[in-house]
Amino acid sequence: MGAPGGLRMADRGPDRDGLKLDRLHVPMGPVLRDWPSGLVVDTTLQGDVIQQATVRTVSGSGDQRFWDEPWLSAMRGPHVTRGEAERRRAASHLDSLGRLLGVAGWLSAAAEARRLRDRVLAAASREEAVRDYMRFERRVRRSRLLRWMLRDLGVIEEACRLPGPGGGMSGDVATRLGRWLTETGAALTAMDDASRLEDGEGPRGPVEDRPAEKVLAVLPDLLVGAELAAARLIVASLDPDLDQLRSVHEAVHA
Amino acid sequence: MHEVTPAWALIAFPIVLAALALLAATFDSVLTAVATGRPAPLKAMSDPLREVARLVVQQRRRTFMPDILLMRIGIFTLVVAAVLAGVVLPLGDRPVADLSVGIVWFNAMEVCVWGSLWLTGWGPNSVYPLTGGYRFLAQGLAYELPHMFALITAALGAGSLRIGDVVGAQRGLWFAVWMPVAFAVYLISAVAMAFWGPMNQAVGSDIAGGVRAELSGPDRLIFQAGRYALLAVAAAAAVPLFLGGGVGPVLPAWLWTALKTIAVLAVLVWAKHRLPAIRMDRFMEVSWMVLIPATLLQMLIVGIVVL
Repeated sequence: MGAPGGLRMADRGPDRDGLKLDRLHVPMGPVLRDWPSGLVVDTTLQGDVIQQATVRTVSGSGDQRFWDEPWLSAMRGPHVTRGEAERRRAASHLDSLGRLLGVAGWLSAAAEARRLRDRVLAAASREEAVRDYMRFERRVRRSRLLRWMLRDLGVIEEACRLPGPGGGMSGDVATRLGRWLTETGAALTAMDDASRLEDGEGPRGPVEDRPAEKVLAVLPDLLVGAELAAARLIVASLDPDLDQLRSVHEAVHA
Repeated sequence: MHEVTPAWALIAFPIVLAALALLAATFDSVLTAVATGRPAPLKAMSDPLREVARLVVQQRRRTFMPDILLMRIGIFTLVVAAVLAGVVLPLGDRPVADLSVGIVWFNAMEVCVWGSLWLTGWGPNSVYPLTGGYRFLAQGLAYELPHMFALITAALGAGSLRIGDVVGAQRGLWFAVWMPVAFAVYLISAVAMAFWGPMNQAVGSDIAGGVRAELSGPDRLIFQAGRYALLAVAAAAAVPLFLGGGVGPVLPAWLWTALKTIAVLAVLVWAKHRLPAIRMDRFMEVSWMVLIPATLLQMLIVGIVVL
């Protein structure tokens, strides 16, 4: 077979319906809208269905972990209040929600999540934040169309024990969305708590365990057989925080 | 009854179509500005015109080994299909082309959009546009049959395929009122046909803009113009088919047609901002198991009433 323009022709292979279809090798990421920045999923596509997937990351430069910072800081010693940490947790979930709703094609709800996130980070008062958040939460939960589109996607068994918000990542994309909504509401309510932060349970699970590593480990299996739109939703519903991965700098000093 | 179309209609039609397309784009910009919390959202009204100016002067990007000819055919087909579908719609009393098979013509021109999007997606030799093309073909399989049945139901109610006759048959009661299922299905499938709002997965942001991902400069401008024109035509067709055309008290027919068209267009643009995207792997089943039987049932009822 020739090589038009110096490019190899797409090879062919059997697909899930017993046909022989072209295989394209397509990297997704590291830069895509509403995508965990730095994540690359190397896929083999037939049509728009993923046949094979491997995950790699484009290494970051720093070792700052913005979303886990209150918990890490409390572990190192300085006094951190629970309220401060809950504020960061709520903002982290709203950030994830903005990305998932964006991938789900609901741009106005995504924009609302991001506006709330920015206001929570910019020290909005508890009453105001809770009131506006409730409206947002009602709107998202009421959408049966959204639930219909998200359910049965990216199902993770309870037995996987994947760390995540509110106890884990089990269930489908719709379940994980619901968990974010519940956790955000709880975190916003606790935003004025002045007691000392003593645990290490960050927005994405125990901060010392670096949950992102575990999420990336199960990701390829979840993506195989999914079509691109579903794959994007699955990745957005797990929203791994790549800052949690050991940077080159940290690995050298470990 | 079917007199010769006056010459002014030939000039008025493209102007009206362009104005409606621009109106839709403007309203969409304002709603986007409101959703993202931009200060002074009304300032976004000039965004579409700014975008036109930007695209006119923008340098074209090129992908590796594109099929430029097929891509351009695809892009131009989109505009041409929208214009040709629109010529059978009455501006006031009479359309530009008063065909005796107007409804069939309208449907045939819409189907050209399938070819248009596939070629535009295929041309750039790039994976995301290609995926967008696949998505639209799946969408076509889901929406086209319910769409055709909805159109045919209106024709059945009037006993004619001429759009003027369909308007005439609604002097007593709008078709939207006594064939609501056909009207609802028409609106859903019109949104799908114009790959708009919740049915915009062919140009979805999750695949970097899909079919239009690699389009730049004038190519992108024509594609976008064609898309808004198609949306405007889809909204405009709902008026003679289901909403009584230009019939209404006091005001002249052309004004009623304009007002009703703008109202439908506003609803379609607004729906885009209220709803998440609908994926065809989920919608296909509903389309074939619910919408097609529902439209067939509606057609049966209309058939019995007409008899």
